Amino acid sequence: MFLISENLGVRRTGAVHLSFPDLRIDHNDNVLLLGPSGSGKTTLLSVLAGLLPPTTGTVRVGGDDFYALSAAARDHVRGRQFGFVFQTLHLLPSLTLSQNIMLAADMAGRAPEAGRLDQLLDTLGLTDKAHRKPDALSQGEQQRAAIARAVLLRPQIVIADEPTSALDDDNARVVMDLLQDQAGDAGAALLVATHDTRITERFDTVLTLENQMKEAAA
Amino acid sequence: MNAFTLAIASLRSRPLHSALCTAVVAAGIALLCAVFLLSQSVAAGFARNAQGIDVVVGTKGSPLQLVLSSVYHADIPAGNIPMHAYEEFEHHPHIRRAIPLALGDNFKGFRMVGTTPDYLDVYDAKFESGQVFSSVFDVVAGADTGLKIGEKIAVTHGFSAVGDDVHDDHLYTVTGVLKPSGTVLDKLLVTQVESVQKLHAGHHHEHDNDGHDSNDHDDEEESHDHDSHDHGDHDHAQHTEDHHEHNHDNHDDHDDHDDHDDHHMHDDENAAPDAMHQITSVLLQLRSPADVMRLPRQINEESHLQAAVPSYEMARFTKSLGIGRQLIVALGAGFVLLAGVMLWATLSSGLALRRYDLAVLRVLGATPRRLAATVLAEAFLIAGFGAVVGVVCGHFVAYGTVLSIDSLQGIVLPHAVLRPQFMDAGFILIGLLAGLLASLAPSLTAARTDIAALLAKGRV
Repeated sequence: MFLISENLGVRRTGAVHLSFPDLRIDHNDNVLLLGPSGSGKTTLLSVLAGLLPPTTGTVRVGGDDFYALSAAARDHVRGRQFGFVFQTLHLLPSLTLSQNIMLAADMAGRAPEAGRLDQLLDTLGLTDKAHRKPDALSQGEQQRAAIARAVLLRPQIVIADEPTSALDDDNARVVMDLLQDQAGDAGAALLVATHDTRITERFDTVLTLENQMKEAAA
Repeated sequence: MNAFTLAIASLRSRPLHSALCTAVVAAGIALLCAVFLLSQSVAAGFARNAQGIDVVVGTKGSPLQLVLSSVYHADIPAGNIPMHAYEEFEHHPHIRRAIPLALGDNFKGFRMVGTTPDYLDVYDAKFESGQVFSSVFDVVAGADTGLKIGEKIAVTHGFSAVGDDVHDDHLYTVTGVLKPSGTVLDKLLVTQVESVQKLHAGHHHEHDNDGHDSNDHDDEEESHDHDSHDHGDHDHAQHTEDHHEHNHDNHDDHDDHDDHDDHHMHDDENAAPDAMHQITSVLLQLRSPADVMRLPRQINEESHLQAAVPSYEMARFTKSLGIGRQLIVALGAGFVLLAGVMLWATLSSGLALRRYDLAVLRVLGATPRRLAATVLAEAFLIAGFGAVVGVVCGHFVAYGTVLSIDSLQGIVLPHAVLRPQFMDAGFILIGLLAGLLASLAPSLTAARTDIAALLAKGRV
C-alpha cells in the first residue's frame, strides 16, 4: 500500500472537529472522495499531502509515518511522489507554459526523465503553446498544462481537488479522461476530491464524506 | 530554475513596480555616492594643488581667502603687500624658497599670475612647446587656455572675464604652452612679476574708483591704514617695551603689533604706494616641517602680514563644509531608507497577491526556506541592480557638478570623478543591505504561509 490513513481527525477553529474515514490507496488505484462543500475534503487532502498535521491518527506514505518525518523531508517526499491538480489550476502568471510544467521538477529538486516534457507537450497538444504565458492560453490549455505539471515526475499518486466542478459535461469528460490516462501512464494512483457526482461511475472506490461542519454545529 | 530565475520572471511580470523600486534605490545610492565622491575628490584636489606650498603670506584679512585666492585661484585676493616682504623672505634662513605672486588681471577668465619660474617648478610643470618667460610681457599659458606660441593677447583688469577695462596698451606674447598637469596651472597664464606691476603702475591712477578693481581699492585702504597709525609711531614704539614689562593691558596690546609692523614698513609704503613695489602674496617652501607651525605664527604676530598654512586652512574649510555634507548624506541616507521601505511595501503587497503562487510552490515540494529565498532574491535583484545604477549615476552627477561649478575647475579633475572607486563596492553593499533588511519580514511571511488554510479557502 502506498498511502494509508487511520483515525484521522483535525480540530478546526472553535469546537469543530473533523474526522475522516480510513484510506488505503495502492498504485494504479482510482479513488473518489465525494462530499458536499464544507465536508472537509480539502482539509483531508492537505493532511494526506503532509501540509497539515492531524490532531489524531496517522498517515503512512510508502510505509513510513509521514508526520514522523521532518517538515522539510515531508516537502521533499511531496515534491517527488505527489502530483497535484487544483480546481483553479494555478499556473504562475509570470512563467511560460513549459516553465510552469517544469516548476514541478524545479521545486522537487529532481530532473524529469529525458524527453518527458516534450512527450507530455506533444500528447496534450501543447507543443505550439510551450512558450506562451498562462494568460495567453485557453481554459482547456491551462487545464492540460496543470495536468502535465502534476504527472511530470511520474509521481506515486496524483491528487486532484474539484477538477471538474466548474466545467460543462463535455469538458468534464475530457479532463477526467486526461487525468485517468496520464495518471495511469505515469503509474500513479489517482485520488479525486469532488462534490461533482457526474464522475462517480468512473471510480472503483468511492468514499463519501458527510457534511461534518453541519453535524458539529447541530 | 532557481530562486533568481523565478524572481526575475516575477519582477518582469510587474515591470512598472520593479522599475520604480529600482529607481528609488538608485536615487538614494546616487546621492550618497555623488556626495562622497565630490568631497573626496575636492579634498584630494585641495591637497594636490597645495603640494609644495607650506605657507602663504599676504595682506591681513581672512586666511582662508588668502589661501583660496593665492593657492587655488578660486577667490579674489584681499589686498597687496610690499615687494620687499618677498625680498626679506628670500633671504630668510628657515625658508627654502619664496615665490612671489602678483595677481589682478585675466585673459578670458584665465588668471594672469606674475611670479618667478619657481612657481612652475612647484607644480612640476612640463612644456608642451616653447619655453619659460624670459622678458617682461612674455607669458607661459596653461594647457586649458587654448593659446598657442607666438599669440599676442591683451588682458582684462580684474578677475572676471567680462569687463571693458582692457590693458590694450601692452600686449603679452605667449612664449610657452604647458602640458596638462591636473592642477590650477592648467587654467593660468604665468608671467614675470614685473609684467603685472608695469601694467598696473601705468594704470593705477586712471581707475582709482573702479568698483571691481580689488587691487587699487585695497591699495587705498592700506595707505589709509598706515596713515592713521603714522602719528605717534615712534612714541608707541618706545612704549612697547614698557608695556611688556608692566604686564601690558589688552587695549594697548593690539597697537603693539600694528606699530611693530609699521616700524619697518612705513617708509617704503609712504614713499611709493605704487604698483611697481607691490605684489599680492608670497608662497613659501620651508626648510623644516617643524617651522610650518612656528613661522606663520611669528609672521602673524610680528609683522603687518598674514601667513596662512594651506593644509590647515583647507582642513578647517572642509570641516565647515562638512555640515552641508552631513545634510546631503542624511538626505541620501533618507532616500536609501525610503527605498528600503518602498521595497518592503512592494514585496509585502506583492506577497499578498502571490500567496497562492507561493502555496503552489509549497505543494510542488518547495520548503518554506525556499519560498523565503525567492522573496529575498527579488529584493536582492532590485536592490543590487538599483545600487549599481545608482553608483554609475552618482559618478555622473559628481562629474556634472564639477563641470558646473567654476571654482572647482582646476582643483578637481572632472574625468577623475568618473573613475570607479573602491568605495563604490561599499555603496553597492549598502544597497544590498537595504534590500536584505526590507525583505526580511516579507520573506519570513512567505516562509510561514499556512498552505492548508489557503487550500481550504478553495482559491488554489
